[in-house]
Amino acid sequence: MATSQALEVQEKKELVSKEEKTVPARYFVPTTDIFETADALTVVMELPGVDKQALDVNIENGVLRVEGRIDHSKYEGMDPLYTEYNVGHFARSFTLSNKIDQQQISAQLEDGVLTLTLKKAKEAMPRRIAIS
Amino acid sequence: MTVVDAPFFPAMTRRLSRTLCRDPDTGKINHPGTTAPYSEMMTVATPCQPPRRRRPSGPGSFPAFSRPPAREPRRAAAELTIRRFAGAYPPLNIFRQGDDIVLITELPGIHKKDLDIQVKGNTIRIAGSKAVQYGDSPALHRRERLAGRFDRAITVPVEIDADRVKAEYRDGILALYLPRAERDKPKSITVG
Repeated sequence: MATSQALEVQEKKELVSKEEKTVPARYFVPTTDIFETADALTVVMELPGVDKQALDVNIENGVLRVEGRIDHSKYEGMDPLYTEYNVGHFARSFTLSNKIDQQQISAQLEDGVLTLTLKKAKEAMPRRIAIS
Repeated sequence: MTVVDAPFFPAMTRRLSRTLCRDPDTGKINHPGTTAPYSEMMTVATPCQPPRRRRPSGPGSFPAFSRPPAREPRRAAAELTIRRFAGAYPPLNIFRQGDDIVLITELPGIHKKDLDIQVKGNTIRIAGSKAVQYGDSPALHRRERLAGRFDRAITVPVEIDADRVKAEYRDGILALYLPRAERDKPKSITVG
């Protein structure tokens, strides 16, 4: 990846959700990369400030949902002087195709970046058919 | 953590020279969007936005008689969005904790070795680069994360004790604890 260009500020998008929450909290949409290799689909999400314990990844009815919660107690005792971004939880969901082997999903969280590797189901993998 | 001696690098002086921009109409100093009362003391190395163009007023442009074109509100909204979110990377939040200042910024996916933080006097510089990697021969379905270099300098209203600065990078969040220098603290004087 070319890293010579200057990074631009990306607006933190607030999550617009149909479902309602019982506790008022701000949710943001994490910036996400999704790419596909021959045997897996990889989802990379930026969740700055989310601890491993505060991360929730689940698949229900073919919908992958990632929710990361921020520990607001870290900001206690601090007076904001100048702010440029909002702090809030993260949530995002994706509808998966049925090509995914739902038993083989691995997740890795490093430096605020979550990498989900969703292995493709065997029947969805490209197969070479030998002609006899 | 590196402490640099004078002269501090030229890139910063260039940035700092842009920090105070006076609005040509009101003569007030522009600060990037903030409501904190303390922020008047804050000088932030963010390029100032050009002043908003006023709609011409005079005969024939009385609002009741000449309606603005239909596209006007949408454009105004777009301008507002740009003004709110354009700025230097990384976006910073600055807090006060007792006498000291805490600077917090979101830098997900950056290796510690790619971060360069320098402190001198009351100026902090955060520079580095971010790389985004994809697997081999991938089909990209969604690409939202950005890669590139960044270099930002910020001046805080108090002098910092550069030797006691603590930097912490955890879960993609960089926190800088900037203790106020002893000589910069106000001295209380007892009336004898």
